[in-house]
Amino acid sequence: MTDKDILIEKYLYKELSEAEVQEFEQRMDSDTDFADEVELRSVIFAKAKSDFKQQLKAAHQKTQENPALKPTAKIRPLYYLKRAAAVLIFGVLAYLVYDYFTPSLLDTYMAQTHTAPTTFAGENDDAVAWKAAKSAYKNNDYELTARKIEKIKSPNTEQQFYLALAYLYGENYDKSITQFETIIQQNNINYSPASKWYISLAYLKNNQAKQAKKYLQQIVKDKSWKYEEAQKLLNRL
Amino acid sequence: MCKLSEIEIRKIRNGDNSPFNRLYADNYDDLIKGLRGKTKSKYSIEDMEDAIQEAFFVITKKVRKPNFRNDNICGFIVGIAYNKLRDDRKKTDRMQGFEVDEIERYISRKQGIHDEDFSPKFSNLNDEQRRKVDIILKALEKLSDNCRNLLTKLWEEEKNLEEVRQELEYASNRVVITTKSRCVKKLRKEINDLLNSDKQK
Repeated sequence: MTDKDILIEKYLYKELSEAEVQEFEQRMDSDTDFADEVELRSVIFAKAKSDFKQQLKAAHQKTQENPALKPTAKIRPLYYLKRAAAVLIFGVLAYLVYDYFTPSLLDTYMAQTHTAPTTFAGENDDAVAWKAAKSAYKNNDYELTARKIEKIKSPNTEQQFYLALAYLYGENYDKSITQFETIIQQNNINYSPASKWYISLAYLKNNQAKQAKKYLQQIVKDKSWKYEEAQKLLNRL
Repeated sequence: MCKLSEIEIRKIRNGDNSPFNRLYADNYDDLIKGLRGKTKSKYSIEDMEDAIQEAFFVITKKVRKPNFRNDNICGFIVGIAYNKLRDDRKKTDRMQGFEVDEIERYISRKQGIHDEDFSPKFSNLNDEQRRKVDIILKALEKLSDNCRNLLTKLWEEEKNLEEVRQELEYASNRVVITTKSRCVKKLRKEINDLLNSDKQK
């Protein structure tokens, strides 16, 4: 490989040092053949990269469409023993450091992502959007989840609930709060208690502790979903 | 498992990138999770996917080298992807030229790889630059098989002169060099002809 080839290759892979950048720019200005070759190779390289990425995407999509293609984890000897030992050590350590490094309960609860929706709909546009939203939610892509649910003309309570969750996990707290408020007002037995819990988290993330407290107290009083966790959060407020 | 088998490494070294498809599909969830953790969930899923794919592309070059270490590939990929995301953020505002990432974005969009919802970013190439990319790609298609093969081996597969000489059965490295410059000249001429005929339209 010539010096010229090495320099161009480093440029394409973004591996040029500062001194090499100067040399590269100088040659681009003074050497037409060099500049021509960089131009050609940039396009060829970009095309190759684009094709390569397309193949990766296609392979992933194929696995998504056919879960049977997904590899199953091999259980190695001592696997469970190692796991148990790790859990035990972790538990002891966690107990020892708990008083010194009190973890943020809010972050812990925020990390416990609500399970993905499981209901199915027909085959109209709304159903297609809902299917895409469910898939995006499972992939932790909350921005896309929200975009897809927003396309549904008359979302049911479950869809509204996942829209609110998508806003929450997507750190769009204001929208999340508004959406959860709507659900709470519907007094739906399946979604109202969970919405009270999540709206509390949204208010806390939005630095509105007073409003969060109101819902947390309600949860504790009614002994509804997550009331123990709600009590723990109240103790910290 | 985030590892390439010996057979897969051999395949890659022979120019077959299909083992990466398997590696990517098998470890997609872990890679995204790893990158999300490292970046503290600062980036969209599309940006993370793109960075991971970019890292795989970089790895292809590394695998071809004899000193490639076939352990913790996923950790390595997440590291490369993380650096890419960090570097992209730094340069977003100043990037204007005929730059590889921009060309790639333009090509991907043109091929319909990214639909509106999933496009990582729009390309910043201007009209003239886009026209140039189109013409270069067209000129490459028109190139003879011999020239296209030679340039692919040298520029895409990044093989050295000796490897190319052996694979394409040239008499000497010198012949490879002269043939390459003849092919580049032909390609240049084709590009210029296409540019001129495009201007006349």
